[in-house]
Amino acid sequence: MLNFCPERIYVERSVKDESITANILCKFSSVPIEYVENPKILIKKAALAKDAISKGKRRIFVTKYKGKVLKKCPGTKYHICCNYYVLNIATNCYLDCTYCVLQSYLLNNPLLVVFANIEKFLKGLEEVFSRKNGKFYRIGTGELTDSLALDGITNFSKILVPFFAKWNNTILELKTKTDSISNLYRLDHKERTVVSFSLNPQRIIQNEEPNTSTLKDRIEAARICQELGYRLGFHFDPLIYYHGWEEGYYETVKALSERIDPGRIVWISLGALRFMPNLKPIIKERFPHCKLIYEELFPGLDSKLRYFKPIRVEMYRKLLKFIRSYNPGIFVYLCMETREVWERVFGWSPMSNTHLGHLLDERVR
Amino acid sequence: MRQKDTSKYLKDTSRMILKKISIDRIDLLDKRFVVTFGEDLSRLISSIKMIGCINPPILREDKESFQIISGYKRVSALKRLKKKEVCVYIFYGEDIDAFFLNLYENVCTRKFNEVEKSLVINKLLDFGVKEEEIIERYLPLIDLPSHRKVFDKYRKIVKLDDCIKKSIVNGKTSISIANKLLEFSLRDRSEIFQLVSKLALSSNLQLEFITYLEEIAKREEIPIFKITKGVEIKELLNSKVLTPREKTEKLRTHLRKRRYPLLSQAESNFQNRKMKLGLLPRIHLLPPANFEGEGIRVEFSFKDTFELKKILSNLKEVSESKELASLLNSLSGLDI
Ligand code: SF4
Repeated sequence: MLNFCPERIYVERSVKDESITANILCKFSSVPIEYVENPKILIKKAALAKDAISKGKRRIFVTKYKGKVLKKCPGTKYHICCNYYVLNIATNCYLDCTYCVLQSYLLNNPLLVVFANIEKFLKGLEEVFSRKNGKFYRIGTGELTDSLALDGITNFSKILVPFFAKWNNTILELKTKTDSISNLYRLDHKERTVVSFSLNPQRIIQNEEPNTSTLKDRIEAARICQELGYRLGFHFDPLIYYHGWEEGYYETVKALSERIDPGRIVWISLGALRFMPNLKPIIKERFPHCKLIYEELFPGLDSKLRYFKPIRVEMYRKLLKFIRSYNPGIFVYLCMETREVWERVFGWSPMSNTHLGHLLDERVR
Repeated sequence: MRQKDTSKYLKDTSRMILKKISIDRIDLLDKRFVVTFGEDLSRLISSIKMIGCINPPILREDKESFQIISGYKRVSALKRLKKKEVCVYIFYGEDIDAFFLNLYENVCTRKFNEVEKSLVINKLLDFGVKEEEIIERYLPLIDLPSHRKVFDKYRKIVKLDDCIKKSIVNGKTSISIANKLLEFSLRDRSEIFQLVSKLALSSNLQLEFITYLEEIAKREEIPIFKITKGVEIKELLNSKVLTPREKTEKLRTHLRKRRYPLLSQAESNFQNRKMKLGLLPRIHLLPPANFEGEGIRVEFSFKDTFELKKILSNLKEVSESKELASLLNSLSGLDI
């Protein structure tokens, strides 16, 4: 995994005394720091810079979160979503995977943003969780960043994991392509945190996720988390169609089965590669060697490009078979797929987003 | 920021003198200050024939010869008319001043074509003007929006081969397509350009064809010229019986099939099954776009109630057929 060191750190004055800010500055004491009064000017300049996406990933901007603390995962039209909630403690990611959708999502602010006013998040969450409305909240921090890529720098998990341990109507999912779990060692998590690892065959990791941890390291990190009593999730997302995919994914599931007790796995998701069409020219320019965009990808009902349906169905069926032969009891679901595809893969389909959400909630309640 | 009041050079007689010189001493190959591309000299030649060269070119002395600062076309026309002498302004000053003199003189008297705009941008860079300054100050001066993307696009145009540059000036190749062409090797670029020129494709079709070629080349890991030189495409392009329009359509189908083999196969299976249904010609059955949605669309048109009844009865018949059941089945089981 890439040993990250930013080129520059911008700190919005209003968060200069926050503990998260102190963590970051302490970790990178030799990196130039700039205090910022007007974030809008900084962001505009970053967005207009030459090579803005690459440059942005090398510059941390520590700032204040001003929006709604808990947001419903936006989902996507005509596709079944799992009713997830997202907590955006940071946006962007330095791991720079070729297919990463953040490249096109964050064009207006390409900086590596860390929201340092953690108190606001905790207060907001406390308010939601104490409503006693019988609702269960599955919450993830990995929607606009990798949950753990920056954790060794920010130490967010040291605050969030014990915080979630206090509530029984919620679960925190930390989703990652890294093995950065050192902060999770001595935390009192009370099983209210699921540590999830995105998996791909090592060949895909090498070509498309070269700055992330190897498959072996991710699985080893998962094994340690299992030993630490955490419950685990795995995401075969994005599933990549390539020459030799079947063998590649078979080996990946096999590697997983050799190290992980299936009883500790709360869910495994499958999601084929998908992205908005405006990402294609970005990938082409930034990663000329990347061939993923030349597969048979077509716009779906939500305008996102996806593999031709028979390819997706074939991949899901095979993956499901591999996982079932590892352990037939593991809960497997599809991420952002149509009801028709669900039916063709599983022979049934959730009736709604709420239904799928409920099935997942039941796994961790 | 560099601020130049160029009008002063023309008024400043100590820097400019009017002189009659021999045309042979003017070096047409020295294009240091020239931003002219696509010379159509015919009108200028007739004008000079009628009234002579009333606007003296501006030159700068360079050892034995003279460099052209402004008036490249005039000098070319005079040379072509085999004139011996010409009245010119001789300018004394630095390179950058000479260039600005040319630039502002041109800005006042004519519009630059797209290739000339690219030349202006590149000359400004050569003379040390900063990118930001060009974007802010000089792009609007040559009728371009002050934007980095525009700067980047125009900057590269000068690198293209002359035939493509001419096609840009003639309006047959857009700046976007020209930039796209720059992404390819010289050989591939020339192959693509020849192909789209031969078929006289619209801009949209040019982009579609180039994208197909590019993506097929990436998928199959071969250079583009290997695709365009393939037997099928060669035969198609050289056909004596097909009209250019038919050639375009056939080539488009061929490229699409090669780029999207699975989708094309599914479409052709759907077509074959549809043929077996016995639908009236006015009824159209359309699969979901890219086979992504679930339903099939039926379209028909009719002139009178008699025709409508005929269509409805045909549809009823088809709806009960085992051929339709098999088509629907194949759609839901669409396998690879
Ligand atoms: S790890 Fe995730 S968030 Fe980071 S670059 Fe890769 S895909 Fe994007």
